[in-house]
Amino acid sequence: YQDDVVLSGGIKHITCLEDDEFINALDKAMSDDIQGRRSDATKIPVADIAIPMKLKGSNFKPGGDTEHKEEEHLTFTLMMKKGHKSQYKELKIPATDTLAASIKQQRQAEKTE
Amino acid sequence: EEMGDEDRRMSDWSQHACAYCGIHDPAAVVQCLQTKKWFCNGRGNTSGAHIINHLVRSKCKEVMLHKDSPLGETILECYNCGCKNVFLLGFIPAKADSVVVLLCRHPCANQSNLKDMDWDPVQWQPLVSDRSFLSWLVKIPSEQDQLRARQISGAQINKLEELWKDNPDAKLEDLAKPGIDDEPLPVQVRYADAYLYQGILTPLIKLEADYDKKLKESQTQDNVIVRWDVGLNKKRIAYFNFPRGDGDMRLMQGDELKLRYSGSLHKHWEGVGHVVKVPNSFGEEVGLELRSSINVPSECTHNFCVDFVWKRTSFDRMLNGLKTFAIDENSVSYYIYHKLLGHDVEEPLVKCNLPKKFSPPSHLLPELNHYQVYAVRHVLQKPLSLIQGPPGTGKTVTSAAIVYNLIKMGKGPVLVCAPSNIAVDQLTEKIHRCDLKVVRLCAKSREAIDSPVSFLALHNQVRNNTSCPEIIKLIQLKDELGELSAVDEKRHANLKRQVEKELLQEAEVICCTCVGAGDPRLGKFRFKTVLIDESTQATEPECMVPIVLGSRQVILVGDHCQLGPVVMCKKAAKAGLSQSLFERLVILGLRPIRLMVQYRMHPALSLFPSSVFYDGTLQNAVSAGDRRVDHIDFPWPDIDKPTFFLHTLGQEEISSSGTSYLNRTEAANVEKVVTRLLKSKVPPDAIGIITPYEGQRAYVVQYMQFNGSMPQKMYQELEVASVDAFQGREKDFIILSCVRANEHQGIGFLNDPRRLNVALTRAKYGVIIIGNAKVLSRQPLWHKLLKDSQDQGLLVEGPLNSLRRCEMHLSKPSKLYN
Ligand SMILES: [Zn+2]
Ligand SMILES: [Zn+2]
Ligand SMILES: [Zn+2]
Repeated sequence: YQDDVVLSGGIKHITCLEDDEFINALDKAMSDDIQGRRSDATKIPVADIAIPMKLKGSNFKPGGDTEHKEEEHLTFTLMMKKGHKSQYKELKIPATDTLAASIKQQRQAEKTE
Repeated sequence: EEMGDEDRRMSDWSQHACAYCGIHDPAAVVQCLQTKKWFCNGRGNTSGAHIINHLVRSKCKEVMLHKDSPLGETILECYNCGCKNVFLLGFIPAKADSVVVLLCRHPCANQSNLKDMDWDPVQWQPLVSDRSFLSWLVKIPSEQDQLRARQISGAQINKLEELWKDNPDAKLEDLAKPGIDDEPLPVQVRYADAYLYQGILTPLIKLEADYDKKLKESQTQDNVIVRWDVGLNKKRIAYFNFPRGDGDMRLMQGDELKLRYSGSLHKHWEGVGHVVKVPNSFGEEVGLELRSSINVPSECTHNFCVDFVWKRTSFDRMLNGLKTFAIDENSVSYYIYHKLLGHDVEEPLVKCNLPKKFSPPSHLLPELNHYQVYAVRHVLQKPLSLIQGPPGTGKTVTSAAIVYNLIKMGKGPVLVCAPSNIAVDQLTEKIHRCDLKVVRLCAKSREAIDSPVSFLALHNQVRNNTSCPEIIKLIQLKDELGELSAVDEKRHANLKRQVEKELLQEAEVICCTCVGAGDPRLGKFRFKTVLIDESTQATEPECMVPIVLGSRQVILVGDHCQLGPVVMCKKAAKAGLSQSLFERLVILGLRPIRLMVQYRMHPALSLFPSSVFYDGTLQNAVSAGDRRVDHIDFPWPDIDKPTFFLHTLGQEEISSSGTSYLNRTEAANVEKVVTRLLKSKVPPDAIGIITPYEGQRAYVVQYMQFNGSMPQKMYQELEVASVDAFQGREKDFIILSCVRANEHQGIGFLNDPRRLNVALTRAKYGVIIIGNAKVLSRQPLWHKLLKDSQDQGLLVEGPLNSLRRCEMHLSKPSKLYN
């Protein structure tokens, strides 16, 4: 049974010219795109994104379910649009992630106040 | 045969398997909306996730999640404006509720009213982070899965993407097929005959042409908004924004664009025109002069599209030049033929009566120095010669003096060329000052473009000619009416051809670009003497265009220690197309005559370049006294040596989430130095800022304007550009920013000593280098520069107003791979 034969030593990063070029091209794409947006003349509507009542006051479900004990996470609701209708989807963000961590910290600070 | 269960399952997942490595976990793959291919969020052995590798290399930007992923089939887009560019998108959390929303960074996440509402835009987190998608949005395949998947290297990814451009169904296995990856034959130093020479160079020109064509044809822009105007010549000019989407692609004056109307307010229309205004640092507006003003939908402003019109002319002219060289015995002299091919051949005597004095009269041009006189004297007597002009050594004046003497010796007409229009114009101006009869031949597409020598341009000389009043009348009529009647137009064309021919025949010197020498208007002309300035910036086939017009005496001027020709197709460059004819002749043993006195740099600035690039031979015609900087309030570590290296910790600044942080640090350092100079009354146009990557240029520009304490307008007058844009030019002060260098970067600044040479030799008064000394010192050349700086106390760190010596131990240089 050959299935579990895995190369030892883990994934090795291989440097090459093409890889360096990729890094530069990515950096460039990101900065060019944001510059392009800044100088773009097209009219973009002012953001008017209200949080619907049913999501107001929603609080995090306690992190960590039975399956992933070690990987604690917070459950958010992701607001999306399908055509003109709003859609809500559940999104699990690990508690260690910057976004979740800083929010959690913030909430805790508020609570202690 | 019926499909087994196994097969069916396989074909099912193979639909959404990563096109690079085969990973097919629905939670770990996303689909590129443009190419419909799927890619995983694992990086294998490369620096970025496969999906990011693909998006960047194929210039795609939009993706969709898999239907069986946690979020289901979802196109990632800005909640507010619908923008789908993943490089602009990121999440913003609500202030008080556990809700997040996806917004584009600009303008939506930047809108001030978000803060007033329930959102916390400060927490904006980019979707693409650490060169992959956020792992909680698209799963990163486990290390086990990645190891079990197909291993694909950065180089293979690159080749596969190239293959997809022609055949979207190509597979990784196809890379192994014969013929797919054939490298062209490389250039040689010597060639048995001109047919072999043509045979080697022709495929390289074709590769470059194909690359150029693909690049230009991919530049179509939709939804362009046009502002209409009428030029002085009554022609219609369309102004519109043409974002510099792809940095490889620089719009140039004279480029041809096609404008199309695709809206409903006017019937379909399209018109071709020439670019008369190009975007600059502070405006992206392009001006396009339309060839015909008839039926232009000038009442419409929206719903236009712009396409590039690719022109093969210059490539055809090079191919034609090589062909002429191979088949036409009279294209060059016997000696030049064999010499160019690298054969041993006896040098013929050049018959000439040398003048007593080589400098043109002093009211015409500045007196030549010893080395310049030697160079002029030498080349007049040689059938083939090279002049090497290091920075600031008066190459153009020397070239003009050579042309002057050639004419005075009765060796006219002389054909004078250079690869770029700017270089041709500069030389034309100097030659004109020598009281010679000069014609500047421009491409028809550039006739509308103004230059300091416009009055010498053939089309303007036709307008001002005295021998044919009739054509002047017709031209005036055409200007007034816009168009002529068919009969008049024919007459006009005939007369024009005739007057042009007369003017060209009377000229003592004809100046044009190298490919311009292939203009049909010169078709019947023969030039025994050809001088090519900046010849080290031309490819070899480019140089051949003027040479094959009958040359008996060829003078190549340039500097092979500065930047070479730009070849965009990597295959062609690798095969040697980026080597100039000048360089090959040097390799063949032809010794260039070097101009050794420089008139530009403070002696402290010329020291390093002289010792490293010119064997220490460069002499200074300017003294430290001529380049004093003590009236400028600037914290030079040593006022007698107006240069230093500011060590910054670039390495630690590489943020995991992308570029913005890096750029900010780099831009902040540049801004502080610039502001200090501006405060000391250094005019902005005397300062040049060199950034290694075109992509960062715009950021530095923007950063200075918004964060600098001097008036915005001053920062707008600064020139910020890549090294290449500064070649052949000078500034009072140069700021060289290379914070970007990281450990395994083999590109750009680090790799090419010629680029460093150009960067260090642009300034007259002062050079400030900003970068990470620790990283840069691993490269031998930079190590020398840093060691020299440190020994002189010019390697410093800390804030600008309290710089202190940096005593760090410079790591030993290690050889970088190439
Ligand atoms: Zn794609
Ligand atoms: Zn993959
Ligand atoms: Zn948006």
